[in-house]
Amino acid sequence: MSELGRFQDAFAAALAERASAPIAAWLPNGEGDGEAEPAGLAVYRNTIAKGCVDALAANFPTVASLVGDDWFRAAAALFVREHPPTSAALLAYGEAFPDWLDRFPPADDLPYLPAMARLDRMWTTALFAPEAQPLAAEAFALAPDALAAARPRLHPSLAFAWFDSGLPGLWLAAREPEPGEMALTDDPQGVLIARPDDMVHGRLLDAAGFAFLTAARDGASLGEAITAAARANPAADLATLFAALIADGAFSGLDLGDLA
Amino acid sequence: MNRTPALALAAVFALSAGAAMARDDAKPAKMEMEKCYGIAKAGHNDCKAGAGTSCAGTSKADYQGDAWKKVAKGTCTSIKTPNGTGSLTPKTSM
Repeated sequence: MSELGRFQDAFAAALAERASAPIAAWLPNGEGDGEAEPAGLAVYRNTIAKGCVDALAANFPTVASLVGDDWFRAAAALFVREHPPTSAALLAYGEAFPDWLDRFPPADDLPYLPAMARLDRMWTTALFAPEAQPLAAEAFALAPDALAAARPRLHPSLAFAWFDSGLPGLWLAAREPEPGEMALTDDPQGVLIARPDDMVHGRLLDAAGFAFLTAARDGASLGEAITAAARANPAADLATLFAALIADGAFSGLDLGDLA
Repeated sequence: MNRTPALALAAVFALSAGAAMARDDAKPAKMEMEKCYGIAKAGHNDCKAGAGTSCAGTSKADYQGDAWKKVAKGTCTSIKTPNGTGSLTPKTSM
């Protein structure tokens, strides 16, 4: 390893261990002897901590707005110490944050908080998902039997989930610029998050829509997926459901199979 | 196709109807903002260099505060949960 590489590893160790011993060989005589770390190290450690806390605040904006800046930054600083970033780029930092919040005793009074973090994480994942052109509505102008036999490919940014309570609705409300009074309901809800073009968007998903997307993700044809939706909720407006998913940019391809 | 044929048939027709509905609704050439790397408040993108790129961290304040011990002061105070408004004070154990 090069001298520079050795120094950088030692410097990182000194920051993590809060001690100058790892870098003693590079310090002027006498400065690395004591137990106390040189004051300069604290500045570097703070800079790193602030960068990581800023990244978490940026990647979990709903959590941050719900608990307020002081609480969030203090909790985030603890997380950063336990889970330092593994990549120099912090764009997607915080994968472990939702689970960590789940185990963080001070968050026990905010039982919805880990789910808010998970939904924020889904948003970030959609943002950085691979690019793909969503299928335009014209691509579905097929004979009914050909359309039903076609197997859709879901857009790479598409994420969807089902919750036993109204957490998705709470999350969407909390992301409004002026959320006002919010409510967590007992009604099970789903959520769809996608970035078909340049903007991430999220919306509520009902049981039929969730059944449709689950079937499509598992390789079902459109006909099988829409039947699954009808089974999940016989009263669902299936035409509107399908039209909405097309408008969401949920599909990036259609495998037409033998009937094409 | 013999399984619940009526349901499947109706569902399949809904596909064609939905596709037609989507064509009617399609907006021509939507104006979209350019994708910016970096995520700002409430998930709205802005064009800073990206999460974690701040270089304003040279203050002496150590990031080891204990504000999490205090009551959270964000918008969570206005959340109505099935167990009542908010739940910010420690729950009494049953």
